[in-house]
Amino acid sequence: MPEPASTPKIYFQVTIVFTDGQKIGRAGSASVNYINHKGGLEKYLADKYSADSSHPIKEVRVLSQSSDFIDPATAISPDILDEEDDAESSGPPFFAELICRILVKKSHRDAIIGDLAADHNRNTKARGKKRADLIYWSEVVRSLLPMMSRIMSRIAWASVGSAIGRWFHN
Amino acid sequence: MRRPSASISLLEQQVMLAALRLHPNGYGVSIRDELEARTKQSYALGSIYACLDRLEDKGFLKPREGEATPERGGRKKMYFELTGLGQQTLDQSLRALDSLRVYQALGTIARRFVLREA
Repeated sequence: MPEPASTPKIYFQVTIVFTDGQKIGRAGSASVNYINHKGGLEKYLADKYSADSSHPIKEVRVLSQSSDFIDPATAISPDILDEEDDAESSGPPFFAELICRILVKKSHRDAIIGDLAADHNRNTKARGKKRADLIYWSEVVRSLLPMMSRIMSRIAWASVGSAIGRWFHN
Repeated sequence: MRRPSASISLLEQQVMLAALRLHPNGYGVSIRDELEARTKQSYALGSIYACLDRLEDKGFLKPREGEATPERGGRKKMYFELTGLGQQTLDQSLRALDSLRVYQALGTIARRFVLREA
């Protein structure tokens, strides 16, 4: 059945999961009327890709849908899809976050770890989980020296203060 | 000319300018992104927070708790705003730089037109 040309369109990005575990990313569009006629977006996509593919399809996951244009070139690569699956089950690297938690001043702890988590979330969506983890670690390692130097300067000033206090006391 | 109440480093000056520009929405990531966009240099979030911490200790910035969002793991943002003292110190620091630039420009003009140097 040909799609009517004048009706509004839905643009979508999907992951197609085959029964053998292989995954591919696709982006496309279809008219709203046609999707409704076929019984919803998921059903329409499952029928469409089952007809197009020689491999049996396990499921079609809709990653995003919008009335705004989505460039087909933005179809997500299978590598990133694998990483996205991992991302669903985990946040930032545990030990990196722990190092941060230990080294950061208490009053700024939530702010810094929250900022790093937001960055990690953004990088996971844009570049995949593994790269986001790598960026998180590099951010923590690069931050070690300035964080440590703040701690050391506090300790140094506290020592000087207590030494002067002891000197006056004696 | 009156001396500033405390000296500030280049990074501190840049962070204060970024906080002023982003007011009232300047927090760690937005300040870092602003600096990276303007200076074309990469900054670690830790060095930005160490600098913000120093400025807070000196009384040039004051923190304000913001909203928590799911992508931050439910942790609150911390916004930073310039205090009156911070604004005054930043102005003095920038004026000192401007006056140096004026002398540099005058020196260049003198070399070119009076001493006839290339």
